[in-house]
Amino acid sequence: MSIECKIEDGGKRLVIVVQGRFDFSQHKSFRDAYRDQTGQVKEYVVDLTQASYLDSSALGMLLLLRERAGDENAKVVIKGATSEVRRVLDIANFGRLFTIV
Amino acid sequence: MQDKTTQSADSSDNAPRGTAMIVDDEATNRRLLGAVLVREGFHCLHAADGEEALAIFEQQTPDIIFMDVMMPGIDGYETTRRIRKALGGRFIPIIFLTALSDEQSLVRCIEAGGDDFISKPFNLAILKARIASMERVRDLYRHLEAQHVELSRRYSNEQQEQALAERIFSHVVGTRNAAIESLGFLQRAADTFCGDLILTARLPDGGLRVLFADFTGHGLAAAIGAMPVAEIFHAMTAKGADDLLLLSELNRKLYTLLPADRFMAACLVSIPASLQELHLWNGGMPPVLLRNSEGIQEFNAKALPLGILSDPPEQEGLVRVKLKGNECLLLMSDGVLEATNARNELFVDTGFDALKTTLCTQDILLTPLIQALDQHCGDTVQTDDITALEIPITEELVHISADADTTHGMQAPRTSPSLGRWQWSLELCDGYLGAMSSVQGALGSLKLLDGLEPHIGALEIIISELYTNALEHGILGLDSSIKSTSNGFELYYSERSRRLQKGIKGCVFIELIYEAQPDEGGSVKIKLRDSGPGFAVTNSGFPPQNNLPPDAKRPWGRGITLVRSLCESIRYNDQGNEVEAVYRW
Repeated sequence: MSIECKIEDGGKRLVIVVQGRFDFSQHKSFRDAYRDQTGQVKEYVVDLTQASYLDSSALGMLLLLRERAGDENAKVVIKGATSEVRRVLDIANFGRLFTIV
Repeated sequence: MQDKTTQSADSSDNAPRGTAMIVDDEATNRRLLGAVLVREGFHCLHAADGEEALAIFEQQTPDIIFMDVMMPGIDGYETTRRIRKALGGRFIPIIFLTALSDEQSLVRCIEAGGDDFISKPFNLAILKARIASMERVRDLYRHLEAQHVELSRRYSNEQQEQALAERIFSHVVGTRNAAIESLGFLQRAADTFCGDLILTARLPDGGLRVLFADFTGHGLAAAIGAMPVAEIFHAMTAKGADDLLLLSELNRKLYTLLPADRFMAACLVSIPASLQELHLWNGGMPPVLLRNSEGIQEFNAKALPLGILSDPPEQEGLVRVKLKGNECLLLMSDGVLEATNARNELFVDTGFDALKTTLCTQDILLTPLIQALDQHCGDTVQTDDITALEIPITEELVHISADADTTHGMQAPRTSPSLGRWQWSLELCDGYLGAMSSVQGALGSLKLLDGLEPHIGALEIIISELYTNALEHGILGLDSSIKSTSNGFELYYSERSRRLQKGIKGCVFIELIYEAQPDEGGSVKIKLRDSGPGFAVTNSGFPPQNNLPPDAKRPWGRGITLVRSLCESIRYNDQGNEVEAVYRW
């Protein structure tokens, strides 16, 4: 599975792990990961440690998550992005929209 | 004789399992099988030989066929072969009924195109079971065929939509671009067409503005966004809107139009006609490269792409770069950096750094880029659009005394100015000092510039330069000599912002007087007066006296030199806070 999720901190944190290529083919799986959350989640963490590639459709998916989190007053953190993935996030200046660690 | 007809006791309404065709030269056999099939829910068609079977088959398509092997005339094998051929890719189960029991005959049945065979006399239970099995296979085929038809239809629709998007892109979006021959351009689309956008327009003063953009998505999705962007870009540039205003409007439009996951990464470059500086804004695009006499300067994206946040782009994202001459700009889409080779390595990680070093000493940047890219990619098929634009910053970019068309970027009807005169004046004070619009912006809608299109560029340059001097030197008291030091340029403009924001007291008065002259001539007298203290004659930086030669060591004086070359005369009063210039044709 390229997208896995884990619930932590008693339901307050949802970690979405993306493996391999983060592109349009992940669209549905990525959305399914957070779609059914009932508003308990206060922090979404997108774990890109194992992601090898990120394109503009992935940036779009992150924006959708951000919109959702905004509706619920939750925070979105992007963690573990390395080299190629980090480069794409930096060029797009997504550090202004997300906490990137 | 009844047996030879195709009629049977029941009609198709009572035949839930469809129509069966029985081909057998023995009437008894036909009757027997017919009775069984009718009980099973079939409507039966009878044929006494192969010819008749083919004739019936031409009229109706049965859902299942029972074929005898030994018949006079064309035998069962041949009849089956012909039926199969006529069916093409469609499928109807054909079950052979044969008294033959030898292995070879049975194999021949299948080779001729039969799907199964049952020995005569047949076992009822086995017959029913085999019919059911054949129907399952047939239904599967039908389902597959229906899906195929649907898929073909949708694919064909999508091809049509792509063709439409391509047409819109090239005809609606591209045709209003100002044609500038010195620009170098590379475009390799990954799909049927490229989603990257390049727009060019003349600034009111004859300079150049370029928008280089990349939408998320391809095809029709990108084309939809490109249309309003092109409209806004051309309309606002023609009206003299400044960079930040244009970017704000583009952002606002895209924010409203596009869904949350779609946006437009873009670079905006404005090069005023004086070629003294350029303005650059990079929102989410790869670094813009500027090759000057010292090497390569990179301008990374400092701003977010457009259409993501409702907030307008910030002043900080707009970079002003001093130009000294001999510069060349290179813009690239992310498809260039992410171009892959056979080992799945990206261009940015392999040949890009070497390319930058090479470019330091090149006049033309696009050719070495293409070479490096081709060397890297080889035969590997690329999945993203590759677009690059080269802007050599030379006199060729500027088009001052132009035809009506290039100034507006559109085909505009040529009108003649009316005979007579008009006088227009404006005074901007205190907080409104920064608000000077272009002449086109101020007077265009009053129709006072109709027929004067060839001269609007020159007028823009003159008024912009004189106003800038009045504001920056006369009122804000900025010292131009700051601009000559290495980071002085940035210092100068940030100080300018600071002083404007702090709130300054002062006025600039502008007056334009147009008078038609005989033989389609005309003149515009331009007067500016600022409330500043003026300048002592001994001030070495500014103002230039009427008879001082232009000084190459003072590049900030280049603007006034240009103005002087355009005007018939230009005079300052003794105090230095009032200037009158005359432009005549």
